[in-house]
Amino acid sequence: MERFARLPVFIILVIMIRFFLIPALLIMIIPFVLNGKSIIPVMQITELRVNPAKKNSGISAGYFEVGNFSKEKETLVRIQADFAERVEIHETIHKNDTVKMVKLETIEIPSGKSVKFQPGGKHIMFFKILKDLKEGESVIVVFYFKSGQKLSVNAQVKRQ
Amino acid sequence: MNSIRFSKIYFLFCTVLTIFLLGGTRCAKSPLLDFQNLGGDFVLTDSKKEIFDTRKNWKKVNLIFFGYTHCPDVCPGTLNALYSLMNRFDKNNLPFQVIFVSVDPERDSYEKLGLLLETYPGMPLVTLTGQAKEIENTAKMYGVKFSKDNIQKDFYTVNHSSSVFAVDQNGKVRYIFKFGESLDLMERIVRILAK
Repeated sequence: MERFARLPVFIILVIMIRFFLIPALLIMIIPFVLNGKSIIPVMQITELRVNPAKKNSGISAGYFEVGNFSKEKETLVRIQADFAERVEIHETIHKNDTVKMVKLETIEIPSGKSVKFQPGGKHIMFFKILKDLKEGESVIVVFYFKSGQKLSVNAQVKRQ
Repeated sequence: MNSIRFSKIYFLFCTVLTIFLLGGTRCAKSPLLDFQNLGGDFVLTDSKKEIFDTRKNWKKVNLIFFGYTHCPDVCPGTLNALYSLMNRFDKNNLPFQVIFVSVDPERDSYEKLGLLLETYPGMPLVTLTGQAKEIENTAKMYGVKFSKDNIQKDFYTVNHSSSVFAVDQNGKVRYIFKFGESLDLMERIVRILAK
């Protein structure tokens, strides 16, 4: 019987550790891990879609809207996707009746504003498509920001 | 006295009638245009390596677009719009066909042009290429300019016209759609031309 006398104390100790000590430690550690960054994402990607394309057909394009909900300006520095060999940010320039494309290194998004990527304007350019992008499917596109924030977003493969 | 009054009323009536009829004519004016110096027949090769002679193919309303398969934005944007336009008509009896003329014969192989067809299943699409000189002459007929740009080791883009030429069953250019044109207008023009 004496062997089980300390059991309630042990149970209480386990509960204390499980429900109080570990969460408390996590709360203390998180700010150091994030290096002062907010836990809530301040950048938001919406309406992300990718044009259907055949494997080896060359390229595809992606469109979305990026919103900045932080108090400081943010810069989109890189986009990556596993279904393409290379990804770049481009903009179509219309002059008279002719269209021309220019490569953009980064996109600055002012605080409280959003930037829209749409057909005939800014767009993601996916080079060398590595698999069929069929309408109705979804693929992952990863966005990297200057502050270090990284967003993995589900993109719908669709025409419009 | 009565005769003079009648003449005045008659004159007024005629004037009002003339204005009304002229106004009526203006309201009913067709949106179609006549581009005297644009367009014409051409012979190119389709993705199945078969000769495509427009003189034998002006059967429907023709929507001609000059683009290239490595074009990521404007060309798929235009073809996507034309794909949506298709949904506004009876798919079993579409009154139009889309003619895609490549302005990049160097990279647009028959295989690449075939893949483009597969990207738009069910669309009455013809993808054409030819010798550089043939493409150049065809583009010139339609007032289309194109040139290579952003030349890198393994890639380049082509600056080109973003217009879609609506050509009637006699091979005449009757309307030019700008990029981003509303589907409502495109549908209206196609329906008028198909009559």
